[in-house]
Amino acid sequence: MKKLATLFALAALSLLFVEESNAQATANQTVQLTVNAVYKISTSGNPGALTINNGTAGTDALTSVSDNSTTYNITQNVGNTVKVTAHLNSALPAGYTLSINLASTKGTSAGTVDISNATSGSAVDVVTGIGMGADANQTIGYTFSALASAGTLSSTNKTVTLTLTN
Amino acid sequence: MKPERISILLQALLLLVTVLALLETAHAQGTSARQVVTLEVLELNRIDINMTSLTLIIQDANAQAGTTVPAANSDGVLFWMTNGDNKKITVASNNATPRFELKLLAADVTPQAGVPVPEIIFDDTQTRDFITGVTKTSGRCQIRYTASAPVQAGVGREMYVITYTITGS
Repeated sequence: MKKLATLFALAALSLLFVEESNAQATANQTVQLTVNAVYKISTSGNPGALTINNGTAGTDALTSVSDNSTTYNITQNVGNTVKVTAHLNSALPAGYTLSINLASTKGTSAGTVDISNATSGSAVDVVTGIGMGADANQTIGYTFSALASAGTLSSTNKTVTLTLTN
Repeated sequence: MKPERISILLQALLLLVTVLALLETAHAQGTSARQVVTLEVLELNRIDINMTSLTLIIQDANAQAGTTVPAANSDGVLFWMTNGDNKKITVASNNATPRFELKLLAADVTPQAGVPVPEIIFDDTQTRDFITGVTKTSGRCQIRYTASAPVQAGVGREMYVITYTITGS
């Protein structure tokens, strides 16, 4: 009888070892993580119409007008040499000047830049040295000026393209 | 067309507009962003003068000729600016029956800015051309007034208000 009890105890112990062995089983998964280059830029909308309606007798340069009502946002993870360029869909006629000024906290603003003759093949830098991260709600300023000798200009739409590039 | 077909067509158009709007929104944020800037320059005409009042005093005479010596002043400068086509500058006096004689000449007109007319005599209130062919630019000229009086006009004082206007020709 005593032998039978010992045998049961041994059997129970071995079952326990088997159970312990199953509890330590592992399974592996390989998770691949990738972050692609991200360039994102957006604007808050279109600026108001820039209408020149004043000038001074004896001065060819008319009184310029400005708009600072719109903003832009950027997000990029590419590097610290990213920049924003600007260009028009077509150049302005001689005697009219459209300038742009983008504020920036993550990069260096180029200040007020003449984009009158900047087209897709000749975009100009407006912000340079942009660090990785996001820059939100930065002001876009436009200034429109004209010479009296250039004459009047009927209401004309120009598309300004801001490009985030390396 | 049956009402059901019209309804289906309208729904399809609405769906198309929605899809296009979504595509546009998706396009608004990317490597590039676009803004439409509306530019306009209105027609502007401005004219100004640096000397709003002056006095011409005839105080000498030529005894041999029996005439007074005219008094002249060319200190005034007229400035103008226009970006419109076919402009001219006119001048008019408010003195309908002048006792003495006042003449006006534009001198040293900015090259290519306009063509001065010969000396004007203000003997009524009629508006006269002063500079014609005013081009789209800014310009200036000296205003030369000459006052004279025949001896028989006697002594006295009279005032003229001269108005310069830039206008369509």
